[in-house]
Amino acid sequence: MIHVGLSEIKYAEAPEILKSMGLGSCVGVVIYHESMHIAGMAHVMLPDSTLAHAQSFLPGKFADTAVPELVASLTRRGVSLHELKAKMAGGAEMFKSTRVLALDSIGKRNAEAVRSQLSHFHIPVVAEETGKDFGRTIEFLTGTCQLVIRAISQGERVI
Amino acid sequence: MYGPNDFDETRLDLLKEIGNIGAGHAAEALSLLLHKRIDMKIPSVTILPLNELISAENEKQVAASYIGIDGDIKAYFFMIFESQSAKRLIDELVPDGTAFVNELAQSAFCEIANILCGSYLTALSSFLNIQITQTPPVYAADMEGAILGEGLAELSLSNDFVILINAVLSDRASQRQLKGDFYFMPVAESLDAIFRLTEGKSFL
Repeated sequence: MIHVGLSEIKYAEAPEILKSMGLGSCVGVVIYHESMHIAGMAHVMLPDSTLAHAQSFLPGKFADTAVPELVASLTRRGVSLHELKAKMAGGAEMFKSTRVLALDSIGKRNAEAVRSQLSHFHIPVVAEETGKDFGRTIEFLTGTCQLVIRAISQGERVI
Repeated sequence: MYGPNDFDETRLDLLKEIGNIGAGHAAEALSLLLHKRIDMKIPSVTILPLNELISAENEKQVAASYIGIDGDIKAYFFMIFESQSAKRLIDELVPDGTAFVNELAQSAFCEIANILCGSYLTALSSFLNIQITQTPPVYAADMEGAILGEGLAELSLSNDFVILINAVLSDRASQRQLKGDFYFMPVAESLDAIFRLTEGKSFL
């Protein structure tokens, strides 16, 4: 089991499992090659790196840096770009009743930013479960390319 | 801009002392609300890097209340109790205790957050002689990582660390204790301001 923490990107090959725990507004995005059983997972926290005040940050933190990094790293490992596929989950809105955060519905914007990055590289989103108001833990099984999603009151789903 | 290494012992002691003064006021307000003597202590104040904050325990089920702070400083305030402790805390306030999911229980929890945050801010603003306002609390119960991740998203643009204030509430008669975590997270510019204002100050 390989844990992908906040703002991190990690890679695995079958039979390893990539896992991100407690995704709220964050988005867990997996880019993988179905028959080579190789995958990378990013735990994206924010949509846009131009918002950053700091000069240095982990590429996995922002949607617009995480997806290009995943693509570059996977293609460096000899995977061809047009055979890549993606699955994603997260992007919830945990505090929905009142808007106190300056960034409006950060979860929704994260999911949109990841989708638009993926479409920029022409990577199809095979399955996704995003939005709503609950936290998710995800596991990507590189052997079967299944994404297992768990939430406290929602049980378990496989997409 | 300040970093975690600038929090020397003196500054942490100062933040802890401000916390204890706030805790004293909060305990009084809670005692009035609950009609019994409640004590509150701040055993520790720590500086945590953001990536350590959301680590191994982020699937832990918690109840959280979140308050935005504005005015002369801009910050975020989280009150987090593990589900079991949150239930007990709410049972004290709403003794029919049927559900922790109902709106009454949630607003009771938020009211406690309001009192505790307000007391801390009152202590801070009178010590530093600044004006502070706070938004009404909002509530969420879910995985700790999911809740903190959303709250920290904006803060993480400028900060790499947060101030964690551990607090222990106890019922003086029954000696029962409830432990909660309070996260006081000033944005980078406000942390600079707090440091400037506290420069050379002490309670002695």
